[in-house]
Amino acid sequence: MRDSIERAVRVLLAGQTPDWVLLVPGDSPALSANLVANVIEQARLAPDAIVIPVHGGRRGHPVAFPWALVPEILDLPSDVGVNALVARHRDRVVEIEQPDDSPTIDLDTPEDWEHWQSRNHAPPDQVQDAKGNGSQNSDPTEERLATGSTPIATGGKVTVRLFALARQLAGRGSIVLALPEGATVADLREALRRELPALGPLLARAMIAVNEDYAGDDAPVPPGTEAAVIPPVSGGGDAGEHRPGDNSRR
Amino acid sequence: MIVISEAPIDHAAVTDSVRSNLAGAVCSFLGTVREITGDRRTSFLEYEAYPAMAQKKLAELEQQARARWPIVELAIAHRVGRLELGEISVVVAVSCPHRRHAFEACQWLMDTLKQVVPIWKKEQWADGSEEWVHPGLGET
Repeated sequence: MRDSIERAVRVLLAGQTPDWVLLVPGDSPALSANLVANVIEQARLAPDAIVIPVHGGRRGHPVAFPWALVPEILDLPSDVGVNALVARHRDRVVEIEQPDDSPTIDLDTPEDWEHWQSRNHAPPDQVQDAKGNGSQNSDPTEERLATGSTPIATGGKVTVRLFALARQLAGRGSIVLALPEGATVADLREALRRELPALGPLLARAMIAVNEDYAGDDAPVPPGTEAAVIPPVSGGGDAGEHRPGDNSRR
Repeated sequence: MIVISEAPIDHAAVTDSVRSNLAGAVCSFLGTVREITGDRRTSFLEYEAYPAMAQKKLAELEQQARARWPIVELAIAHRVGRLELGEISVVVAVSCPHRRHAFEACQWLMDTLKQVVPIWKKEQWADGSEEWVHPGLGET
């Protein structure tokens, strides 16, 4: 890994250098676009920091390094990893807690791969079996409906993205919330009020988007949805009290 | 053409992209970074988007505008990231057979864009303070 990173650093040094770089290992298949976006957003907020996603006390990837530190990689002793750079600049490390272990998953052996595949790609009936309330001869689909459960991978979890002042107040670009069955935007707002008190009065003035559309308080928020807190948009100097989605003055 | 990008906008290219032999009128609007707001002075602006939703809302605006005016071609480009004084933050270009429709459509697109498209700006004031522009929240 050191070798490939050094090659990348040399290529970058030869061109127009970036503000920071992301270290994204190829053997970490669980890294989501959302996670990468969160790390980038945090790196933008704290341009001098080394931003590292963590879960359960373990550090993972992707890691954002300010460009100023990156050339030091070339000077590290050949027998140490890039972690030595993180250790050298530990006062710059900003850890961002993640809701699942996706940042820490790296697969080094065929056994790792098989284990990870079986964990993530088991058909729902196998998941049921694994939970111990499996299905002798009954239709697994029917049972799932009957018990109201959803596949473990996404069950009841909703990712809420935060933008502009909401992101700044919360100190993060997104949060994953566990919502009850049949939850609505009103429930989502309540959960946000509880989990992110720093949003304060902004939350009441913000719109909520569900799957990239503005959504009223009665709108459903199904599991696996991407939601977002949308603070009032720029509006322009003469737009006064306009709120997004409000057509009343047109 | 709808583009959200960190790269500077070539407003002439955007305008050119809507020209057509079917249109007798091309209307382009440029939003640019203003230095003076009331008695305050701006150093630079930062724009932040919810990219996927902004694309979707802009595409909806295009559909609505096309339903309302006889638009031949339409292009919207919005910049995100840091913008210096005088730089172009947004371009809306519309072509129609006649000028009245081109003016109306361009104004409606720009006004509506600022109300419904999730793109925010942060003022970096010359006195060193910064402020997200969220209408209706009052001064922060």
